[in-house]
Amino acid sequence: MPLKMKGTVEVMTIQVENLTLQIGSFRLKDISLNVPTGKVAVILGPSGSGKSILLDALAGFSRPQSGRILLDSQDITALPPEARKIGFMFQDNALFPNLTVRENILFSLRFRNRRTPADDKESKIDVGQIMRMLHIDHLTDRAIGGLSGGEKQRVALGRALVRNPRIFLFDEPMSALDARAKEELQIELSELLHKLSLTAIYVTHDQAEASALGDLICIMENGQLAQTGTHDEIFRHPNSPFVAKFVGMENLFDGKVIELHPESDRRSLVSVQVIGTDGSSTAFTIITNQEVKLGEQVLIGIRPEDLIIQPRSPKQQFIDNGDKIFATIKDIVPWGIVYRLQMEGPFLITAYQNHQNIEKLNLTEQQYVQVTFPSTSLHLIKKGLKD
Amino acid sequence: MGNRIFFLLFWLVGSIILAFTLIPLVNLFLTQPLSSIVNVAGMQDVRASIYLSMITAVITALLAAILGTPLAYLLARRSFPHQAVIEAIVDLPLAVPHTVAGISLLFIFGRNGPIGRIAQHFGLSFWGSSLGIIIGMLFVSSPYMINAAREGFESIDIRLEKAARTLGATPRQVFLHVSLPLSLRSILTGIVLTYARSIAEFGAVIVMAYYPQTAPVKIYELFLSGGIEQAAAAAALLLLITLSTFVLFRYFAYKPRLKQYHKN
Repeated sequence: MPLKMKGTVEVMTIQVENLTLQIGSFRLKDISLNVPTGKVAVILGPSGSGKSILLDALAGFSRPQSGRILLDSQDITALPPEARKIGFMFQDNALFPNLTVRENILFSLRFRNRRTPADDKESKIDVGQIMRMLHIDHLTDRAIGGLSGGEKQRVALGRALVRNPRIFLFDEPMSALDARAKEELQIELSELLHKLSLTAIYVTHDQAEASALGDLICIMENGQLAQTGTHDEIFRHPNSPFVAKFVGMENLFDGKVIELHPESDRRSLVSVQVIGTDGSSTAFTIITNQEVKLGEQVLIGIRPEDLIIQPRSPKQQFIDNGDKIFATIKDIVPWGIVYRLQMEGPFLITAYQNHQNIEKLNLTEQQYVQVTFPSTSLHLIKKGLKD
Repeated sequence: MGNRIFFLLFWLVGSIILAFTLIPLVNLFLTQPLSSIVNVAGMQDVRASIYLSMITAVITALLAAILGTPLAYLLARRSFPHQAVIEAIVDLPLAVPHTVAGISLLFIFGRNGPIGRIAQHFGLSFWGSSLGIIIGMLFVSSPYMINAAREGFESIDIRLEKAARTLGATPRQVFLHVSLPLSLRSILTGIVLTYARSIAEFGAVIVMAYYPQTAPVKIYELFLSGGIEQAAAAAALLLLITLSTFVLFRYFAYKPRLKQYHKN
């Protein structure tokens, strides 16, 4: 779906229409994607989902069986890679090891006069400015072998920028960098993309990278785009169990719609009953804009970091009512910058808590707690939408 | 401890094969009195034969590079039907006894062979001429050229070629600006190997051309007529010249690449 702001018509730099492509036994199925000018679309998916194959098709390295690719409204489906005017950044920089930094950066100029003799835009490229902007102006005469991973990717970016491409394609350009270089380059790249209003499609399997860089995020599953949307839409409102699991919505509970109150603006207030492993029944109230029927089997999802946990004494008797559940902490393990808590109540629940909370609330294993599900964080997912 | 002994054995076995190669050659040098080498070097026909060997081997190596590099690229970068068969054909000369190669070539390039007859119309003869020597050398040494170049092309990261395409290079320009420069070292290695193999060739060359005499043929003749002493002295002289050119070429073939990588 095209990303539309109310009342404005956005110019699309790249439009992919129903692209289908078979490579060996792998198939890209019916991919449609529009990227407005100046925006970055991130294609996020597990390895083997076909992200790189899609990029290769956009770059012109493989020919689709059906569908079209439009670049600035020009049908480029049949054009070879060299005629597409795209910038491609590879996982491992793909710099020419026999050339210096300068020779690498100027590489595309060797070929530019033949095809487009009078391209004003191109002749205005200021190589010195590009190198200063990327902080590689001091490396000019260096050999590629002596550069660090981050420097190499900057040179590769400069090399692509010199060609003044209409769109940038990034194929996991950070995956070979160490954490520090990655963070540094990510911030810089994000600034650069916005400063130069570059249009880009960025492939990664790293969610943090996707969040930091993407104006638009597309989740890829087994050769198909499972969901396309803004960061919030994808991470807070996944449309399928696959997307929910992939973006870290770890708590997914099977339930049944038992009450349905339509509200204004296509939204409805829905009560979903979840049956616990002990046979108990919990009802959650959710506001959703999805169309559901009374009695329909659905999933309820909530992100682990959205849960609120408070210690309770097991002697106190509380009644599970709606958005509260009582559970026992089974496991607390460090999880990156937070802690991951596994809890057993009527069903298994996973929560993330920061160190401060663990200390303050004195949370320990075997502790009895109250888990609150804020209604704004609860999300309803229809089942079998993709099947 | 067991590991140390195991790899100590590797060193031992490795030394045996190195010694096996080196000892006869070094011995040949050391046992020849300097006076007899100087004596042989003074012989006009010996000098001419060594000169001829070097010239024809250089021409063969360059010819092999021109004829072999395109096929090497196709084998490395394109997939086509019966590729394995073509690769086997490339290696075929390695399995053919060189006298057999010479005789087969004679039937094609000789006075009554189809190509030989055409060549005669232009006043060229492959039989008993430098041209014939080159044909014999090319046949037996081409696998070294093609395989070295093919390995060179294969070792280039395909992403470099893809990157060049996205930077505006057509497939032809990719070959000229990326693949060829990056495999230059392998091609040069192929040229050096082809040169070395050509200068050493005896069987195919003697069938194609007894005269003009290349150095190996001359040494064989000296061996038959003048006895082992003169032949050995000439052999030592040939060894000295061919080995020094081989080492020199190898050095130059590897040097440019090394310079590039150690620029900083």
